[in-house]
Formats: sequence, structure tokens, C-alpha cells
Amino acid sequence: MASHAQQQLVKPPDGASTAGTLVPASLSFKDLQSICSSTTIDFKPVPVHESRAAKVLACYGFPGLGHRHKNGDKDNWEHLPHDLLVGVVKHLEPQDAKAMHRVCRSWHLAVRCGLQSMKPTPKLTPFYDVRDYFPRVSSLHLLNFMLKAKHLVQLATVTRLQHLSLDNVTLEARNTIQKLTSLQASPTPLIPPQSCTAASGLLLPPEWKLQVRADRAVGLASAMAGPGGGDLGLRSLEMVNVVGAYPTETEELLSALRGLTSLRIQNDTAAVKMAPMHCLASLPLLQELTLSETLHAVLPGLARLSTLTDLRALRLTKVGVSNGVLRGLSGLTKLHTLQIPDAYRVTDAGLQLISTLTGLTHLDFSSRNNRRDEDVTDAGAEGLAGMTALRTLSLAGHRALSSAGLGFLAACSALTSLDLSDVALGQGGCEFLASMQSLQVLSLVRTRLEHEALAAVLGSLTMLTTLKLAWCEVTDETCKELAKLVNVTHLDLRYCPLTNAGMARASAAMPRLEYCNVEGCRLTCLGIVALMRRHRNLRVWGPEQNNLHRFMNTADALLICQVAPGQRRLRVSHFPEASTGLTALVSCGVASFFLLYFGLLLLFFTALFMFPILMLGCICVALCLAVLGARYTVRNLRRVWLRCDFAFSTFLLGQHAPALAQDAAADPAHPGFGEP
Amino acid sequence: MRNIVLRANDGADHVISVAAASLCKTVASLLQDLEASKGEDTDPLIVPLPNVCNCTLQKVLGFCEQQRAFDELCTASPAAQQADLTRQIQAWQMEYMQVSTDELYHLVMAAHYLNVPRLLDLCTDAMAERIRGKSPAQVRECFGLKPSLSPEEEEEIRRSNLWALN
Repeated sequence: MASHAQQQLVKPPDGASTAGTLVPASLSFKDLQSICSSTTIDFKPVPVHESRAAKVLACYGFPGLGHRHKNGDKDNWEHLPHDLLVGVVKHLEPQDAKAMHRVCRSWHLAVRCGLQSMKPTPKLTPFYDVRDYFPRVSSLHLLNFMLKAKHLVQLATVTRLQHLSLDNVTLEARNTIQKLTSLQASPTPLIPPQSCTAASGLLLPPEWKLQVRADRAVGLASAMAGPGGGDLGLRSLEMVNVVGAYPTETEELLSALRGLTSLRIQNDTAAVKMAPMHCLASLPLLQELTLSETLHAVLPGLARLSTLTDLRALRLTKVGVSNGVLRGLSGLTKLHTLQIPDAYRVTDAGLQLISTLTGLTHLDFSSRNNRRDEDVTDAGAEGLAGMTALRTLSLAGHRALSSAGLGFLAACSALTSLDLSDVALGQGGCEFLASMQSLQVLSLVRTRLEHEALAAVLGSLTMLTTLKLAWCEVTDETCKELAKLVNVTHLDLRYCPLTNAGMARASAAMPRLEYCNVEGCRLTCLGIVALMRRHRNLRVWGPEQNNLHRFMNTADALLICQVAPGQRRLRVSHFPEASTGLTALVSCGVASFFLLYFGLLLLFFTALFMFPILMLGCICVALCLAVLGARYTVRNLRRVWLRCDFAFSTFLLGQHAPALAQDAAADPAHPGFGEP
Repeated sequence: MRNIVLRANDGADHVISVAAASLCKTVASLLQDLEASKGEDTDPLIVPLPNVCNCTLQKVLGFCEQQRAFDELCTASPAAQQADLTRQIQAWQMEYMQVSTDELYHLVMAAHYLNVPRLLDLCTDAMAERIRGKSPAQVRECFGLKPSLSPEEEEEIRRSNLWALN
């Protein structure tokens, strides 16, 4: 074929594609034209535009073709273009990249060139390796490390680093964390870049590996970085539970890292003391700031937040946010995310102060605990009235808020997530919800909403995917409205006065249901079985409710084991008719057992004191039992008991459970059971 | 708007609209250059692709057409339906990538040659999916590769930087 011949004959310009990869797309058409016209090829008479297209494409051609004809298809995976392999590396997790980099040579090189993010294991090996071996690594996540001073010195030499995350890291010496200041942007790269054609990225000559070995001491990092690569500096820093860094040291480090755009400091333990954050004034480029504490520490540095004019996202958890801090925020017009949960010192006046932030799209002002100086009331909520761009809003926990103050929400039509848990909506209803057509997540937990108020708005919120109505008055009548919400995947109906019929009706209309918590509802075991039969992958318990053995008895297990083998765990606290008979039987058995036991004990001690030799024997036996007891602790015994219980229930299941379920289905007392 | 004819290496022609062809950056840049140098032309433009076989080309073009259709849908539909649409697209892409390793090779090479960024991303993701959770030997078996690292190199890798990727 003409085009094949062309590819053999037309030589691209020197060095452009000898490396076995693509000619960069930056070659202009004029260049290609001149290349093509310089060769002498006889073409078949074809239309002029086709021949020109053929010429151009032949120059764009790639060497995979030759390999395919030579070696057969299979070997060519090795000769994939380098940039393609690098693209694959970007999709891989570090542990999979590890497998890939030992497959073959070209893949090995691709991993070494392409790996950008690394999560090393906590073995104390020099960080020099990172710099030399993986020149492109710009993101490092250190989890559970014990770092000495020398390690921090090494870490500070990885100058390409842009994202550094210190997670549960322990520093073994004082005054070490300041070493990281050299990660800050420096005007010139530490080592002048080599003359390197590979700097632009796409091309890597086959002798690259040899070069690496020869001048490894010089540092491949600088060779690969190319001009201008060294002055990026650290952009984002995460410090989660860094033990051993004193507040003053952290302060010193942060005030030196002027290039930071994202900073996250989180302390989950009381052992770490939060820095007072006076350094915030010296981080003018900061766009994201997350500070999180467990104790309500007061950070005086937060008063300087007004200087961070570039701030986009601010998350302050339990760091003593007061009205004064909010006053500093009022000038930050670029702010779009503000999360200040548990800000117990903020009052109505504070909310009025942030009313200027009309560009906010995410606001979290929830309050999970009861510690509060002064309740935020409807007067404070008026401060939020201008924020019509809001997409997510959480006002959970403010019991003094009522529906009168939340009327402004009707204007927030872009809202996709709304959390009004514990807000006193019970009296005024929630008409403002009706206009939120795009709402996807709605939480009305413990708002004590009546059936009428719920029925009036629920039907129109058809986009909902998550709905939490725990402790609301959701009755079988309300379920008629619930049945209109066809997109719902997560449903929380704890402690609602709901029966089997209502649940069957609602769940039949929700084909995508994945999670449905019905703890404390008036559902019977049969209603739940019907629910789980309809939705095979349904979870009916929360992740926090895995203490099953305290709530389940064998009779419940029988019915639930039958539904799906993976779903034996269930907590339903209200099972009147399924378990009364069995419970009575078991309690009778236990009572008679104890009577028998004490009778025998009395008899035994009488005998013991009559024969002293027998007593010695008994002491020996007791010692043996004590040794055994150390082995079989309570936990082990409980595990054995659970296993026995499960084996017993599955045994019974095989024998009698289908008959049991059929009997129950035929029972007219449970109209909610059975397929519709 | 005129159509473009893409000719596979076995001579089969595929007619494709300019909008769909613009997803292939190679064809798009070629078109730009031709338009600039020659002006309007009424004949269909024939582009021979010597490196792409017929069935692969068909599959790539199927992707281009489908993506174009999805794009039009996305811009036309209101924001409320975007999530649903995204789910549909993902489902379609998932089904599209159900190919054998050989087919994947041809597809990824064609995508690279025609420079279709979205298809490339999808293909590299499919390759990554095949690598995920496997040992080097299993990866080699999956892709039919021969170990080309010498034992010394292997040993060096193991000694020097095992920690970094563990």
C-alpha cells in the first residue's frame, strides 16, 4: 500500500521520532510540507487533498506498526508510547504502581517518570531516593512515621514537592520541623538544570536509563525539572496529629512557607497543642484553610483572617470562633465555603456580620452539642437571607430557630443539600421546602413535623436521593407522598409511627433504595423481610449499629438468614409478636436453671465441709479452672456462643424456616407482608 | 457542513461528521491546516489512516459519535438531569470498555494515533484496571509480556526503593 511505502521513505527531521515515540503535535503544517516535498516518491494519481493528507499522516506516524509486523501483537504492550504508559500510571494507586514498575523496562521507566503521588511505608529510609528515583513526585503522604532530624533534612531536599501531608507523624526531636522551610519557593533551582532535551516531557531517549545511572549523584530531579521547574515550592500542607512539633516551631515553619495555598491542621488528640496561628498574616496566597481541634481552643491568630483576601474555603472546627472572628470574614468576598460547626460563641449579632458574604455556596453552621452561650434565634437567621447562591446549608442543632425565621430559604432555589435537624419546625411547618426543586439531600431529624406539614411538601421534591425523617410523624398516609420520590437511595425513618403497609408502599416506588433504617418503627419482622426481599442489596442498619448480638434472638435470625446470606445482621428493637412466645420459654428455662443451680451448690458445700480430703481435691480443681479461665476469656466464650447460635439457626432454617415464613404470610394479621 | 471519510488500512471507508471528527485531535488539526491552505471544498475529504484497522476504526468512531451525542444532550438538558445523564454516560462507557486485551491494544494505539483525549483516558483507565491488585508476574501474564529487566536491575529495585512503593 502506498501509505506504507511512504512511511518507510519519509524520514522525519533529525531526532524527532528516533526515540520511538510520537512527533510532538507542535510541528506545524508548513514543517511537514517541507519535509514531504524534500523526498521523491511516486504517487498513484489520487485527488490532491487525499495525497496531502496521506503525507501529513505519514509524518505523524508511529513506530508501533513496524513492531506489530515483526513480533506479533502480544509483545507490543511493551512498546506502547511512553506518554500513554505515564497516563496509565496516573490512574494507579501506589501499591499497584509498585507491581507495574517491575513488569518490564519500558513500564518501569514510565512509573519512575510518571509517579506523582507517593505514600511510603513507615520504614526509615532516606528521602534522597525519592528525589533521585522518582523525579516527578510532587505529592507525598507520610502516614504513621517516626521522623528524626536527619529525615527532615532529607525531606527538605525534595524541592519539587508541592503537596505534603503529615498524618499521625511523631517528631523525635525539638526544633526539627523548621527544616522544612527550604521547601518554600526559591528564586533559583538548587542545582542548575542540565542541558536536557527530555525536559519538555514527551520524549525520552532509550539511553535515558544509562544517563540516570551515570549522573545519579548530580540529581535527576534537576535534569527532569527543566528550567523553571524548581520554583514551584510547597503549595499545600497537611498536618494531622503531628506529635512533637511545638506551637512556636509550627508557627515559625508556617510563617516561612509563604507560597502555601492550602493549609490543614487537625488535632484529634488532646496531646497536641494547636499553634495560636499568628502566622496567618504572612500567608497571603492562602485559598483553603482548615483548622480542627478536639478541645475548644481559642486561637488569637484568627483575628487576622481579614488579611487573607484570596481565601476561598474556610473550615474551623472547635477553634473558638466568636463574633469577632466573623467580623474579620465579612470582607472576604471570594469565600465560597464556610464551615464553622460547633461555634458556640457565635450569637445572632455574629450571623448578621457575615450577611455580606452573599457569594457563599456552602455554609455549615451546625451545632452538635448543647454547649452554647446564647441560642441563635430567628433574628440571627435573617443575616443569612441574602445568600441566595447557597448549594449546601446546615443549621442542625439550633433548637431556638423556627420556621418563621427560615422563610428566606424559599429564595435559595439552587440548594441541593439542606440539614435542619433539631430545628423547631413542628409549629410553623415547612412550606419553604416546596420551592426547592433541586434538593437532593434533606435532613429533618427530630424536627417533630406533623403528617400534614410533611405531606404538603414531600411530593414536590422529586430529586431527593437522601431523606432523613427520623422522629417525625411519618405515618402510612405520609407514605403515599413518599412513594412519589423515586430517586431516593438513602432513607432514615427511625422511630416513625409507620407500619408494614406504609413501608411496603413507599419502598415499592423506590427502585434505587440502598439504605433504609427502620429502627423503632412499628414494622414487624415480616415487614422487614418483605422490604429486604424487594431490595436485594438493602442495608437496614447503620454502621454504628453492629452490636447485633444484644438485640437479636434466634427467631429473628431465622427469618433474616432466609432473605440473603450476606444480610444476617439486623437491629430492630420492636418485635412484639415474633418473639414473645420464645422469650417466655427462654426466661422460664433460665429461671428453672438458676433454681437447680443454687440447690446443687447448697448440697455441694454441705458435702464439702463433711469430708476435708474432698475439699483439698476441690481446691486443686478450682486452680485448674482458673488456669483454663485465663485462656478462655469472656470474649472468646462469647465468640463461641455466637458461632453456636448461628449454626443452630442455620440448622433450623434448613428444616423449618420456609414453612414458618409461609405460615406468617397466610396470617391475615400482617397485611404488609408478601409481594404486591 | 461537509462530511469526512476516514479510510482504514484495509480500504474500508467510514463517513463521519465534522463535529464527531473534531474529537480526534489529529484529524481536527489536519482539517484546520487543509481549510487554511485551500479554502472551501465541496468534495468529501478522504483521510487515509494506515495504522488503524477497520474494526478498530469503527469502534473509535462509535465512541466519537456517542460522545458527541452525549455532549449535545448535556448542553440541552437542565442542570437537574445532569446527574442522571452522567450515570448513563458512565454505564455506556463501562459497557464500551468490555474488550479483550488484544482489542484494547488496538484501541489504545488507535486512540493515541488519532489523539482522542477522552478515549485515551478511558483506555488508560481500563489498562490500570487490569493492573490493579496483581503481582508483576500476573500483570505480565495478563498482557503477554516477557520480563525484560535483568536480575541485577530487579535486585537493585528491590534493594533501593521498595519502601517507596510498598
